[in-house]
Amino acid sequence: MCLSYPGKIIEIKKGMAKVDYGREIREGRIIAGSYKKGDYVVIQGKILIEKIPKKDAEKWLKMMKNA
Amino acid sequence: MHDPVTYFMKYAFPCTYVLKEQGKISQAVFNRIEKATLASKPVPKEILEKTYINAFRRLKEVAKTMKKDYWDYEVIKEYFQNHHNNYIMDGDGGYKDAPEILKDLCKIHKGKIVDAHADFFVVSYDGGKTRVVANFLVPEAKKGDKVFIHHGFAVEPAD
Repeated sequence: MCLSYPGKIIEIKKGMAKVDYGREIREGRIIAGSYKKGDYVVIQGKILIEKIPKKDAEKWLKMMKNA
Repeated sequence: MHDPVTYFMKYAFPCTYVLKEQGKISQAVFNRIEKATLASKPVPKEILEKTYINAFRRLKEVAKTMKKDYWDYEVIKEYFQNHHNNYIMDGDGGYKDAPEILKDLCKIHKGKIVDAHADFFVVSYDGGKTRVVANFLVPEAKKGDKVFIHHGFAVEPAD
């Protein structure tokens, strides 16, 4: 299974978002779209590629934890 | 004709991030695959088969119906372009309860580059969705070209 793992934005500065992934904090560049602190996102290749609705992200993170 | 190993690696590369996030592969394996993919160099087949277990299980199924070896370029292409998404939609390998938006990232989409920048493309796909993807696997593509995308990466040109 290759499903991405969402992280939560904890800070946005100069087009860069700091994202809390639980085990680590990762940084990603915001290129398109509007993002704010608290949003769940997927980062790949140091770019924010998708915003994940909170309900979906929390449900999925909980399932991954119990898997 | 593409080398089947490096061709497979391009499509599978985005999953490498996910496997690392899930703790299924070590940082060392990730680094080795990442370095090789960036340089278009092959990684030994045994390492790939151990890393992308689900992909190879499905590749073997497709290979059987095509009566070819699962390391055949045509089989790999057929799997990623025409079968991969069906496996996801059918809920194979733990996808059943996953949110649609995450499944969508995992699918392979044919899209059009609507904006090209130094190191990324903005790609429009699936009737109006857009996604920002890294472009280093398809450096020759330009605005207006069609490409296949997988997670946050453009994978190869699409005719």
